[in-house]
Amino acid sequence: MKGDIDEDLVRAFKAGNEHAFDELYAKYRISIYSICYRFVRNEADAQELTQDVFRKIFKNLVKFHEKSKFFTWAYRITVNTCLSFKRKYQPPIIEYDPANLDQSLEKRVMMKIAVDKALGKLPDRQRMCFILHHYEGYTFNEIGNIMRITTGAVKAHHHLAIKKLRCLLKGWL
Amino acid sequence: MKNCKWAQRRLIDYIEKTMDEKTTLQCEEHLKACPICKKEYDRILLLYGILDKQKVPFPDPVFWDTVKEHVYHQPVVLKPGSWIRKVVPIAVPVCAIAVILFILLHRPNETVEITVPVSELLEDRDIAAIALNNIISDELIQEFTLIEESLPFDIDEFVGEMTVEEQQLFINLLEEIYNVGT
Repeated sequence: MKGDIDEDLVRAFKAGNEHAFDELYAKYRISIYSICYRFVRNEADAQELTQDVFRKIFKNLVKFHEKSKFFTWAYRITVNTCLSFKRKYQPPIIEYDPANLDQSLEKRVMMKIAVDKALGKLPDRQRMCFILHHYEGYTFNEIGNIMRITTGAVKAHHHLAIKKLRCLLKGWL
Repeated sequence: MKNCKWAQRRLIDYIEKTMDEKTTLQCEEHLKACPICKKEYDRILLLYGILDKQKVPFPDPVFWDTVKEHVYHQPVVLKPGSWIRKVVPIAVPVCAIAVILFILLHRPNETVEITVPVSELLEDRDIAAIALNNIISDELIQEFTLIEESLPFDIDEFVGEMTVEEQQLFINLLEEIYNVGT
């Protein structure tokens, strides 16, 4: 089980085996980066956040008490780091010559811009609940454990996010 | 059959498959019969499709090595909540107060030096006693006093009738005998 392997790696790390952290890092780096990117929607901030998250995980892993699963704890750090992040980077204004793009590519670019904008307009917690459920596939219960809120609150955040996105992207539907 | 308000409230749960079997069947029945709610259902599915198309551009492999490097070699930074930052604002004033109190309580005794010629000291027994206190012993002062009192004449008058040179000679003699200095 995912949890059992992680527990073994955590114990090995606490016993002094730093390579155990390398394995955890390799296992979770993509999903943590993905959460960070979807939350901030630009690569520079996502990279900074990812580095920050792993720095915190490495520093605090010896204190991890294994009452919850490792991934719950690691994603909790990810969520909290994202929620407390103050944006420094402004995404560049995408300039392109429509004459050089075919229609389908132009449409995809415009759609991406519209989706990024719409996600950016969601409140932070709504956006995070939506990302964890829709993109990362976690259940409302698991998200509740990660974010330390009730399952009902997670569901409410998620549903409100869908409704808001539905309104903001109605031109594309 | 349930109404549109009931059905539209449950569309997301229906798509997410988080409802019980009975409610799911009721939803399906309504969607089959209601084109408005069916259209709304299709729009939400389309929204999901648009959102799913947004892929994450992952960084170069160099980035992952850089992160690992930074993680393993992170500097120690005093954070606002560290114990040192909590202790220092209290420790500094306490130490300052302790130093001030130490200075006040351990001030050296002030000593006042009085330079008085021995001839003047000898004229006034009390002053002589104070000045000579640390130079000659109380026994010697007492002895000198006894000698003075045993003399048949008043030593003060005797010294007063001396010339300045005789007085100085007398003083020098006393100094020599008693090792007394001014």
